[in-house]
Amino acid sequence: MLYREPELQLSEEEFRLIRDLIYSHCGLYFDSDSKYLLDRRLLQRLSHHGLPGFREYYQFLKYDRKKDEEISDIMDLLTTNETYFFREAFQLRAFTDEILPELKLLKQRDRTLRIWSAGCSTGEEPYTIAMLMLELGCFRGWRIEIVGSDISQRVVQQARKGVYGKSSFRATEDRYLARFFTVTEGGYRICDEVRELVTISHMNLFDANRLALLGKMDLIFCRNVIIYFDQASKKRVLASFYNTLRPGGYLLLGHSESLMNLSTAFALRHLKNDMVYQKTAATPGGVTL
Amino acid sequence: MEEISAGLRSPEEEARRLAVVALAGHPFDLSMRLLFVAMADESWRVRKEAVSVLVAAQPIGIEAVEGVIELLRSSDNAGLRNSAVESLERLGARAVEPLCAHLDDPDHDLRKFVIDILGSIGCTSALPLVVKALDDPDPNVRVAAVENLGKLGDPRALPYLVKVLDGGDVWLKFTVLDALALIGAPVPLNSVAPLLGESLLKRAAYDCLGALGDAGCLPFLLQGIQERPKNAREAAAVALMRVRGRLTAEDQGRLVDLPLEALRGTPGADGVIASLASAGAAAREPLVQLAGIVGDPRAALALLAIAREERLRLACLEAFRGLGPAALPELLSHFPVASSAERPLIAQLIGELGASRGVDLLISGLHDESPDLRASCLHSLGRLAPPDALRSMAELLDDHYPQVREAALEALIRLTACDPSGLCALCAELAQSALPRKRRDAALLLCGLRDGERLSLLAKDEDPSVRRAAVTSLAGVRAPQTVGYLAMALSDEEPEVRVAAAQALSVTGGPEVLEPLLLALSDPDPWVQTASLKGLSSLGDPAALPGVSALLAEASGPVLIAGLSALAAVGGASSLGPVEEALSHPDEDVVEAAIAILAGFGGDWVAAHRDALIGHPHWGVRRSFVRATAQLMGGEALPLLGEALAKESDQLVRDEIAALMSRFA
Repeated sequence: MLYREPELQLSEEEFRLIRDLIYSHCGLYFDSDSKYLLDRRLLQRLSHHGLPGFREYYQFLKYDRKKDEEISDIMDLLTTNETYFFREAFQLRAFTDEILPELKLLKQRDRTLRIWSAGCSTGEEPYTIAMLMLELGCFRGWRIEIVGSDISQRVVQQARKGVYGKSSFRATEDRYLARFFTVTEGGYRICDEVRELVTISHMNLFDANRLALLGKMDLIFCRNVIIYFDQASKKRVLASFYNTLRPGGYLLLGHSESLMNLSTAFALRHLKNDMVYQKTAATPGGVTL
Repeated sequence: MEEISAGLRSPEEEARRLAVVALAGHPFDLSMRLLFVAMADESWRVRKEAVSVLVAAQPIGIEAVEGVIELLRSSDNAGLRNSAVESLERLGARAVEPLCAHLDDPDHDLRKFVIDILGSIGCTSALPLVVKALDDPDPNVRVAAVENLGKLGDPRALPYLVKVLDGGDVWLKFTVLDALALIGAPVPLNSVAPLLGESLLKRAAYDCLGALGDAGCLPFLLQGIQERPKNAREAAAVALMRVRGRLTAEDQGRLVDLPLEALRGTPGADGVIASLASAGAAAREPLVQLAGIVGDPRAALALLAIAREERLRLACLEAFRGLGPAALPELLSHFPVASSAERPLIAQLIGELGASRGVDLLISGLHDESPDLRASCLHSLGRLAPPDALRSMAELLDDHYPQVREAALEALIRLTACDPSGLCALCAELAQSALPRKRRDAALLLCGLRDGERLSLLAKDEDPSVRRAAVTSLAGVRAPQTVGYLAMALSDEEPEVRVAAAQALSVTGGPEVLEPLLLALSDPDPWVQTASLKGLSSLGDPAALPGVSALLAEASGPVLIAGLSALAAVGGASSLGPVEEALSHPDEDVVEAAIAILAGFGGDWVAAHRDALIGHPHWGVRRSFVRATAQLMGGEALPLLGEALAKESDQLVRDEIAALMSRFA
C-alpha cells in the first residue's frame, strides 16, 4: 500500500525484539534507520495472522511451530528483491568473455561446471546464467549445474514456477525472449532447455549444514545480498563461500559491494569488464575468517 | 623463520600472505620485524593480514608499540603508514600511553597522526594533552586536535574550544563548530551567533545551533531559513526542526509554528520550497516537516516528488495535511503528466484531503493498468464514499493482485453506512460464489451489516478461511445465538478457526462465554489455549481460577504468559505465587510478563528479586524491571536506578534509566 498511516506503531522495544530474532535466524541485521521498514511492511503479516499487535507477532515468531517458515517469508518483504534478467551487464560480460573461458581451460579434464547464485530471489539470475551459457554453446557435452538459492520460500516457489512479468525483462534483448521463453497466462515462461540447467533450492546462508550439501562450486554469484548483513554475519557467510569454492573459483558480488575489512582470503582480480574476487589456487584447505 | 622470511619475499601475493599467517604461530618478539616488513608490502591483502596478526599477538609490550609508532614516520610508503595507524587504533588502550609520549615530537606529521589515533581510540585520559595541542605551532596539528576533541566528546574540552572561536583562523573555527556539535553540550549563544555573519562558517554555525541550541536561538534560525545560500538555508532548516523537537508542544506552536505559518504565500517561503527539490538526504525530512508547518500550497509538487521515497512518505502525508485542500488544484492538474510512482500518491491524497471533485479521476483510475493506482483509488473512494461507486469498486475483488483485492475489501467495508442495501446485495452474490475467497469476502463484509443469519451459514462453510472470517465477524453481530455458534466453532478441525472462535468469544463477553472458554483450555493447540486464557482474563470471573491454575503447571511460552495474566486477573493478589516464581523462569518473555503483572499489585516483590533482575542477561527484562520499579517507587527508586545504570551496558536500557532518573531528579 502507499502511505497509509499504521494503525499500530512498532515500539522501539518490539523493533529490537523482532530485529534480534531475525538476526539470530539468518544474520540479516536491521539498524534503527530501518525501523520504519519493519513497521510498515510487517503490518500486513499481523493482519494475515489475525494478530492484534507487534508484541503478539514477536511471540508468534518466537513460539509458533511455523516460525522458521514465517521468518524466511518475511525476508522478501524486508529486503529489496528487485531483480531482472541480464542485470549488471558489465559483470555478465566479465562472466562470459573472461571468467568462463578461464574456467573452461581449468576444468577441461572433468568437464563439469557448478555455479551458485546465492540469494537468487525469484530466479532471474540463475536463469540468466543458464541462457548465457546456452548461447555461448562452447560447453556442449559438459555437465553444467546452476544452483539458485534463497531464504524465502515464497520467492523460491516463484523461481521454480519460472513465469515472469514485464518488469523482469527491462534489460533483456528480444532474441533471448524469443529463444528461451514462451508466452503463457500471467507472463512469459522460461523454457525447459534452460530449466534443465538450473536447480532452485530453499537455503539460509547461515545454515552451515545445508550449505555443506551443496558441494563444491566453481563460481558464486552473490549480488546485493550481503548488504543486509552486519560485519560478523558477512564474515560468517564469506567463510562459507570460501569453503564452498574450489581453488581458483570466483566470487562475484554486487557493484557496490566489496570485501574491504571483511576478508583477505580472496584475491581481487581486475578483469577488463569488472573487478571480481577469486579464491587463489595456492590456498590450501578451509579458512576461518 | 627463514622459510617464512623467504615466503615474504616471494613474487606471489598469496605466498606472502600465507607467510604472514604462519607468523602468527611464533612468539611476537621473534616475528615483529618480519611483520613490519609485511605491513609495508605492496599488496593490501598482505598488509591487512599482518595487521590482524600483530593486533592478535600476546603480549605486546611498550617496545613493540614504540616500534609501530616509528612506522608512522614512513612518509614514502602510505600503505605502511596506514597499516601502522590501523594497528595502533586496534591496539586501543594499550597504545595510549606510548602515543601520548609523542605529542611533543619534533615531526609535525607524527604529532598529527598521534592525535588522530588517540581520537579514534576514544580514550579521554589523553584529553589534557590533546587540549594542549590546540596551541601547536603547526596548523594541521591544531585542526586535528579540534577534530579529535569532538570525537572524544568530553564536555571538559568546551571552554578551550569556545576560546578558539575568538581567533581569526576560519578553517579552525569551522572545525570547532563541528566539534562542538559532536560533543553536544550547551555553549553560550553569544559564542556562536556572531559566526552566522561569516559566509564560510554559516553552515557549520547553524549545524552547531541545531545540536546545542535552545529557544534563544530560534530568531536566528527563522531568519536563516530565508538565507540566499542554499547550504546555509538548509542547515538552518534542519537546525530549526531539531531545536523545535526539544521544545514543549506549547512552545513549538508559539515560537516556531506561528512565525512559520506567517511565511505562507510570501517570498519568505520561496527558499524552503526551492530546497525541497534539491536538498540532500539528511535535510529532506526536516524540510518536509517545515514545509508542512508553513503550509504553502506551492510546495505540493516538490512534496509529491519526495514522497516517492518510502522512508519519507508518512512525513510527506503529514506535510500535505498542513497544506490542506489548497494543494489539490496543483496535484489534479499535474495528474495527467505525473509519473507512474506519483499517480497513486495523488489518488491517495484526493481521499486524504477529502476532495470529492477528484472522484471521477478515482473511478477511472480503477481501470488503470497499475495495481498501485487501482489500490490507491480504492482507498480514497472508500474514504470519500461517493454514491454509485460500489459496483465499480466491487469488480476489483477479482483483481489479479492481492493488494488490490484487499484494498477493494477494505474500501467496501467503509461503504457499510452509506450504501447498506447495495452492500447487502453484493454480499448475497458473494456468499453464493464457488470461490472460497469471495465467500470469505462476504463474511467480512457482513460484519458491518450485522447479518447474523448469513454469517451463521458461512460459519459452516466447507473452506476454513471462510469459517474463520465468519466466526470473527459473528463477534461483532451480538445476536442471541452468537455464543452457541462460536462454541461450536471451538470444535472445528482447523486450529485457526478455533483460535478465531476463542477470540470472538472474548470480544462477545458475558457470563455464558465462561464455560466454552474453560473447555477450550484443554485444546491441543497452544494458540487456542492462549486466546482462551486472554478471554478469561478479560472476563475476570473467579470461577475460572481452578481451570487456569491447572493449565499453568504444564504451560510454557505464550500459554504460560497468558496463563499468568489470567491467574492475576481472576484470582487477584492472593494468587500471585506462581507469578513471582516465574521471575526466575528461563524464558525472558515469561519474566517480563511476570514483572508487568506483579507491578500492578504493588512493590513487595522488588527487594527480593532486585539483584537477579538488574543483572538479568536479557536487556528486555532489565528494562522492564527498572521501568516497573520507577513506576512503583517513584523518586525512592533513584538509588536502585543509579545502581542499575552503573551496571548497565545496553544503550537502550541506559537511555531508559537515564530518562527515568532525570524525571525524578
